[in-house]
Amino acid sequence: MLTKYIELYYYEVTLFTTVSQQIATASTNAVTITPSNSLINVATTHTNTFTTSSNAYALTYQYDRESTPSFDNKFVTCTGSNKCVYFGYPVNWIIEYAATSIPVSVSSSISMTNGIYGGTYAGLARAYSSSSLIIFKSTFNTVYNPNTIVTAYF
Amino acid sequence: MGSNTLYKGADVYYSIYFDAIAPTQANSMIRFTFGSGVTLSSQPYCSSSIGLYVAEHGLRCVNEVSNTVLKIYNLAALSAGSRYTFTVRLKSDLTTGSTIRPTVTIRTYYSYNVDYSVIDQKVNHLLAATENNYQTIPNDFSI
Repeated sequence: MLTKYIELYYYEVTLFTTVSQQIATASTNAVTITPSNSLINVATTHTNTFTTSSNAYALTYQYDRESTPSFDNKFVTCTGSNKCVYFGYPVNWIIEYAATSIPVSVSSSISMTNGIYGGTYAGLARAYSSSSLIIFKSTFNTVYNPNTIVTAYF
Repeated sequence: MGSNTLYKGADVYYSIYFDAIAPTQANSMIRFTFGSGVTLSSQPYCSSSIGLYVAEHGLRCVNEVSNTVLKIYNLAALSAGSRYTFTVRLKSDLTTGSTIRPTVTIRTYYSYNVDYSVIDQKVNHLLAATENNYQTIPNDFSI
């Protein structure tokens, strides 16, 4: 009779299978970011115009982490009735999704605080299908303007 | 604080001041970029009564780019609304024109450790008065 006498190790092995996917990337920036106020460090609304390859289920906007402050984690209604989820560092993502679908061209309304430094900062936008696959991606630039000194002498 | 008469290559002391809009961290930085006919003197110079980050190191200023950008660092935190005054030494570089009116672009940086962290700026601020360029207007003399 064979019985378990002593167990030295118990180690689970899990195998994954993966699928590969060709992700369409915009040859030029398919996203434009227009803050209602581009001054550094102010709360404002960014109008993010994103033209994708086809209808999407969700969009993500990955902002830079150099100038843009870490987002407060929250869940809000944003563009129309669409929902937006904010994730702070280390990702600094805003995920927008709709009850049905997001059209090929959408102007998202994103409330956030502008970056704390002036300059141009790069981000990455992605569009996802309902099966969670990325269908399109594009880089984008956000421009923040420093304060203008009013009183100066030379 | 210019002399109203400039000779090519001659050092002249200038005063610059500005009121900060946004505060900075301790160990902040300022850049002055000069244009329209003046460059830093061959021995860059700056002085100020501004607070220092590490007092023992003194006020640090270096010629950063082609004798046109003066980087000033080892600064204590700048306060919003406070006035900061500097004296710098420049020289005329003009070879043509009878008058000269140099410009300065002032930029303050949130932190010395983040080189691009500009938060306040004033671009191409003109010298208060137009000065004569004696490179092209020689003095008369009597015999």
